[in-house]
Amino acid sequence: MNILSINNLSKEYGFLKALDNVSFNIPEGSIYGILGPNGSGKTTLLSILLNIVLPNSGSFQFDTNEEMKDYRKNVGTLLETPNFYHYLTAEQNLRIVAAIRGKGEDRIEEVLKTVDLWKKRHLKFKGFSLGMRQRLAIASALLSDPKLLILDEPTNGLDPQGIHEIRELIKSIHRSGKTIIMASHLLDEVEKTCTHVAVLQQGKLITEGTVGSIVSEDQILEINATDINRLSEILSQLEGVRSIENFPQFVKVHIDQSVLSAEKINQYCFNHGIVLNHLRTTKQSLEAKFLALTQN
Amino acid sequence: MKYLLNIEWLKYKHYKPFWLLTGLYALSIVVINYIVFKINAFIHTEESSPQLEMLIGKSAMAFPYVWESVSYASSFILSILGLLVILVTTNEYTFKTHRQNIIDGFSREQFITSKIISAVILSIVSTLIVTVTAIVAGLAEVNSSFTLSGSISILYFFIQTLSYTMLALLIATFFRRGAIAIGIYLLYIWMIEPLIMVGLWRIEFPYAAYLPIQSADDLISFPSFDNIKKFGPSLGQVPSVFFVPLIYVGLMVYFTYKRFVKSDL
Repeated sequence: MNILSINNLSKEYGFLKALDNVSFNIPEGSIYGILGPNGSGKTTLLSILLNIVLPNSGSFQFDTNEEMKDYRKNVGTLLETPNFYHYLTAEQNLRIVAAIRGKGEDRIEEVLKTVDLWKKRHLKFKGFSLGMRQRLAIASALLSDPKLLILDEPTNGLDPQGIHEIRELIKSIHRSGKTIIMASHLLDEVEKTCTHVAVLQQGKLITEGTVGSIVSEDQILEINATDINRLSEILSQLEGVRSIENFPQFVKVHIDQSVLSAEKINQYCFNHGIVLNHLRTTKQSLEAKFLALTQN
Repeated sequence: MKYLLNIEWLKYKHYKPFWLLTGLYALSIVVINYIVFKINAFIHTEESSPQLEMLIGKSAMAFPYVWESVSYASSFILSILGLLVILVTTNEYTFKTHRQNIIDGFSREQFITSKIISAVILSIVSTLIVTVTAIVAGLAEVNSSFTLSGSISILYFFIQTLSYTMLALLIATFFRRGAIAIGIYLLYIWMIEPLIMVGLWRIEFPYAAYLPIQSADDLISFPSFDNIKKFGPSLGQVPSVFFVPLIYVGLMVYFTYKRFVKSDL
């Protein structure tokens, strides 16, 4: 079941097409990564979902069993920069959030303890460090026990400790059965944390699906034999080989999985009088895939 | 409504500059009227000659004139109230909490309605302060006994206050930055509108006084010198009617609302 359907969303800023007819569905219970370089439309997309930017055309539909106008009260959000009243304390700020959501007043102590800010609840927000601000934003996002969490570059600007904490938090929230949408320009982050991914470039959706399906459409093999030059030569004549890269220790062969497999290659080489002494299949990393996709 | 008010209250309850400016505003009303009271008492001694009364009129601080006098004197500092509205509105833009409130579940309509309600409440409070000041001044004046006659001026003052606060809200919503909004607001009230009015007079446009702030200001005048005013030169003005500023207030609220609901935040 989909918790969110996005249908043909477009947004223009003058001549700049920030989003160009983007459609995809987000399955319930997934960690959905929205991946793209800076300026690809990730934040615009999330801003539209959060009603702070209005689309020129298209629509989206949340399925949270709630009335549409109230869906945001059940969505926890963590943006790049936490927005709070500087002149109020951590606790006073959360009181406003709870009042707007109409729930969570009784959870303020719990969430402040979760993010380790309970002892600092009487300090004003303007005196908070970036890490503390981010933690208060997490507390705020968790306040109403949301079904869906939307995160925009959640680890941006944090130190390794902070990054680790946020990633652990995302995983623990996901384990409790929640859906998470996460925008990121970090491939590594998406590959490590997400179950699904949509790749955006210049406002266009390039591809989307499970991380596994996107990464494993193509396969890369590392192959070696005593006569590496001969190996390279006969492989180049094989149908289904997309590219060959020569390395000192092995050749890296990029294959089309629908045509070729490691077994077929092994047989083919043997038939041509070459005995392999190294054959290793590797999945193409999301990074390689991403570069391949966005260079077209 | 109670929901929106509660949230606005949480925002201002612990905001010291808000209370400081509110206190300063209330104090200014008292001070400016105290000065008028003292000057008035200096002119209208118990032995005032009938000739003087012919010239100036009855004591401006006696009922029923006190309603109009206090409303008139207090209206000079209405721009401070406007600054208060600009402060609390542009704060939301500065801290980007206007976005956060929406993200947390406010609808755009709820957010801007809460700001309009705040401005109305500030206008009501301001009118209450002026009412109490007028009653106290009227009772303190010699040869004066309480009457509600003439208290229509308080209603006019309320309309005038709405003109100032809603203009402030409109400018704050359009310009978003505190310093810029304050600059444009004061420039409009003190320079732009008076210049437009002078320009319209010069081309003998008959409705020059029907500009947004001028038409509200014209609802109340100082009750003294009424006898002289009758003989004064006509400025080509048409009588001010209270619905003209109300129409402007309606338009300001409409454009404020529309702007916030229809634009990217």
